[in-house]
Formats: sequence, structure tokens, C-alpha cells
Amino acid sequence: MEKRYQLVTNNSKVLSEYTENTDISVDYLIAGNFLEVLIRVRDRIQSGWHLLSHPQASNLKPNQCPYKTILISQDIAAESFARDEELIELAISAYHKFTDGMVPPQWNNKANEDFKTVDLSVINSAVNSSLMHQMMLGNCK
Amino acid sequence: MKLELGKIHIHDVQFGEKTKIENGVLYVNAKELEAEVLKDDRLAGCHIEVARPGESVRITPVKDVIEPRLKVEGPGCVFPGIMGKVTEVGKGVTYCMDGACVVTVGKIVGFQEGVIDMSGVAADYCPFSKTQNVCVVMEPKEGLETHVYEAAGRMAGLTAATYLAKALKGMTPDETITYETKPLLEQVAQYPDLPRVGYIHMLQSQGLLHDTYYYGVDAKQIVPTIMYPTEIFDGAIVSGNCVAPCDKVTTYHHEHNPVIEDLFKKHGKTLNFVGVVLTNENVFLMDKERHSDMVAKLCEYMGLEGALLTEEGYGNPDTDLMMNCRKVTQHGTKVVIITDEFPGRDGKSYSLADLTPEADTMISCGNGNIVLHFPAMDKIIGTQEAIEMQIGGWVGCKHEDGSFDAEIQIIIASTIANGFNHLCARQY
Repeated sequence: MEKRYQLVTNNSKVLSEYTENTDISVDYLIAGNFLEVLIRVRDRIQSGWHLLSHPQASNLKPNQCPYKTILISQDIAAESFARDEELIELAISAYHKFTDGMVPPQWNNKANEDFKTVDLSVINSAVNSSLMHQMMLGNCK
Repeated sequence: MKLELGKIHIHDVQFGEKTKIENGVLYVNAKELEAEVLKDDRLAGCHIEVARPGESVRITPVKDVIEPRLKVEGPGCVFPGIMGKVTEVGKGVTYCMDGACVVTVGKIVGFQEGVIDMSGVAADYCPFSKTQNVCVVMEPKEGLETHVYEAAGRMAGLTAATYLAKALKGMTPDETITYETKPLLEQVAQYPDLPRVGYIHMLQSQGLLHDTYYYGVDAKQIVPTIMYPTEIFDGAIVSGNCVAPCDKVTTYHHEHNPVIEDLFKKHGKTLNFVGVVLTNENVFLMDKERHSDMVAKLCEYMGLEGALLTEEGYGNPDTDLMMNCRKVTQHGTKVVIITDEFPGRDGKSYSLADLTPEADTMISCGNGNIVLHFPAMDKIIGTQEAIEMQIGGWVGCKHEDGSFDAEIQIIIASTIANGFNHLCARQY
């Protein structure tokens, strides 16, 4: 049976952490960048999936962090379709605002690993939300 | 709840044999302070440096800034739930070292963050260029996991502030301000003809380096609640260190929340400052819906006619900002938002990450994308080797003479979204 929840991500630490999770699948964009994660989520929303975490989570703006992870659900919606569309489009437009015409930064391996750690921590804060925990246990309608 | 805040003015900081305050000078026994901080065996090393206004000194990367305060009378301790028991605070008498700060410095993550320049053009963008800074420069134990190091860094700053605050014991304040908020019905009855105004204070709550603590409780785990304004003066709210420095609300900024300080100045004169609604900025969308509903309910329940609303951060928190604004307005309370902006270098893009028609009254704290030339400094406390990786910097921004170009968002709290600084925007 397909899992109800999915993490769309380009962060290998998220893949490692969630690869065996019984409720959450991982759509891992192995060579994908920040924008590609947003676009994949937009595609999912268009196919009927629902946003559960904010696409612009974390204070690290698109030109300040290479990793992005977003939590979505097949059948549980937090917001309306129109609002999900609006949130993802605002995220994509913010990506362009912060990156178009800018010299892309270069980070060393340690920095990249730290970015992955922060991104994982931020998405964990959504997955570990009390309500999400109850939803995964099947205790909410 | 009534609190007398006694300010002991500090105009200089020096190393000395005994940690004490004399004639407005804070003397610090560095060895004793280091030993206190190093009781935490998660740290491999720490040394203390001082930085004074006007010196050719740069401090980077900055994690948190804390003002030493001491509870003199009344229940509880400063930084309740962390540096002592969870006993409720905000009553009695508290002394503060006005003009002195602890600054924690050191790498937590590879991409660093936060610059303070004590002189030069960048100094104007940061309040800590004007304070006497005791810098705690930390080294973590080898291989320490990032969350653990963040916690150790947080405790190092609070420990240092608590150690220094002992020097306030027995002092006579240079200035005392009395703050009082009565229980709701009594407060409303005290100034029946003045508009009932409250402050909705959004706490950052997104994960590692994005956390805030209320009585030691991780703000991700709270539901909206009411706080007496004076609780914040006793350190009831503490920062979980910093990512994206320019809109970081440091622990100092919580202790000195400018909205609360300014509302008190007008309290009983042009408005009736009724209280504070605390809420968070969780990334789980259902939490946002639930908590913005609760914020609106609390404002309605308190009978607020108007509310000031501030956030910490950009992006995800902007959605909470708009949801709070929309629902509070729809419940009958007028809302004024105070926030910083990221409209891009040319200022032409949307400043915030979300919108609502009810957000029609806003005060800007400035544009984080403006570029400055940071001059070379004689002394660096910490290290500026990673400037090109720091937020606001870029590859090639550093020059051989030690100067660099960067967006002002590299400066700690330069565009802090609670209105502490002097940047703003005007519409013509």
C-alpha cells in the first residue's frame, strides 16, 4: 500500500533518516537542486497531493542553503488546493528573487553537511509535531 | 505583576583580579569566567576577550548576545527553567548591567553567521557596537554533534551572563524604572478611557538554530498563551542561537523587547497596555492554522482594540504573520505589523513571503539586501576566514587588506523585525 505521506527532498540525510519509515516515503532528487524540489512539489500538488509543511521553512533563504525538504500527503490536507498552489508559487518566486543574477555561493564539505543537518532538523520539527504524530498513529480523522 | 528594573550603567569593561563593578566599570576575572563556562565538558576550550565601542575590532561569528541581570527581590531567577527553577518571574526587583553584554562567538555550523563591527560604517547597523562586550570565544570538543554543540553554546552564554550578574549584588542603581501590568479586568478598569492595546509576540520555532525557549520550554511545543510583559525582563524568553543573523532576536533583544518597552512608555498616557500574547512559528501547516485561531481568540477574549504584531525570521514565519493578522483583524482587533523586508537588491520584489488583504498597516525595519563595504579592522575576535560563506557574503567578497563587501544581512540583528534598530522605510 502506498504511504500516505512523502518527503520531497534533495538532502541525503533526510533519505537516510526516513528510508525505512513505515508511514513516510521519500522522493529523493539525487542530483536535484533547491528549485527542482519546489517544482516537484508543485507537480505533486497539481496531481492532488497536499502540502503539510511550509515550502519556505528555515531562515536560510534559497541562495543561502542548497537543501530543501517538504512534507506532503496524498489524502490529508491542511489547506485548500488554491492555497497550496499559492504557497508553492510564492516559494518559487522567492527562489528567483534571491538567486537570479546572483553569483552562486560555494560551500565546502563541512558547510554542506551542516546545511543538511539544519534542513533535516527543520523537517523533523514538522514530522515530530504532536498532531502529525497522532495522524501517523491513526488517531485523527 | 509589578517589577522594578534597576539599571547600573556600565561605560567601560576591563580585565581584573576580581569580577566586580566599580564607578561604572565592569572588571572581569577572565580565568574565573573561563573556568565557569568550561564546567560544561562539551566544550574543549574557551577564552574571553573584550570589545569596546569605537575600537577597530570585529567580532564574528556571533551566536547570541545576553545582558547580565540579577534577581534582587521577588520569586524566581533570571532565565527561569534554564539557569534555575521554573518559578514564575516578572515581579519584585531586578538589576541589570545597562551597557554591557556577553557575546558568544564560535563556529556551530560550517556556514557561520553574525558580524559585529565596533567601529566604522557597519557599526551603525548594530546595537552591539555601542555596548561593552565580554566575548566568550568557544571551541567545541572534537566530533561534537551539532545539536549538542548548539546547546553547549547556549548554556555558555547564559552561564557567563549569570556569573557576571553576581557583580550587581549590593549595587545601587543609577536609574530605576517601575513596570506594572495588573490582571486583565483591573487593568482595563485602571484606564477605562484609553484604547486597550496588546502585543502579539511570535517566537521563532523551526528546529536547530531556529529555536526559542519560554521558561526553558522549546517554543515548538507551546500553544499560544498570555504573558505578563515584565516576565520578559527577567529572561523568561531565551534565544536558541542564530542562523540568518540580520533578523535574529538575540536573548538581549528579548530582555530589551522594544515593543514592550515602548508600549510601557505610552501606558496610561495614550493607551492601556493590557498584555502580551505569545505564539510560535511552526513549519507544520496545521499548527499554523490552530495557533493563529488561538491568537485571534485570545485577542478577542482580552478585549483588545489594537495589537502590535512582530515575528522573527523570513519565509515560513511570514505565513504565520499573515494568518495572525488576518484572523485577529476579522475577530475585531486592529493590527499593526512591524517587520523587516527582503525585496532584493533593487528593492523591486515582494518584501515578504506571504500576503493577506488585512495586512494594510505595516512598519518596515529595513531592507536586508543592501550592500556595504566593511573596512579592515585591527583585531578580529573569533575568525573571519569564512566570511565568503556567511549569509550576506559571496565568493570574492573578501579583499586582501581584510576588508570585505557584504549585504547588511551579515550583521547580527541589523534588520531585526521587532523595530529595535533605526532602519525604516518611507512612502512618498
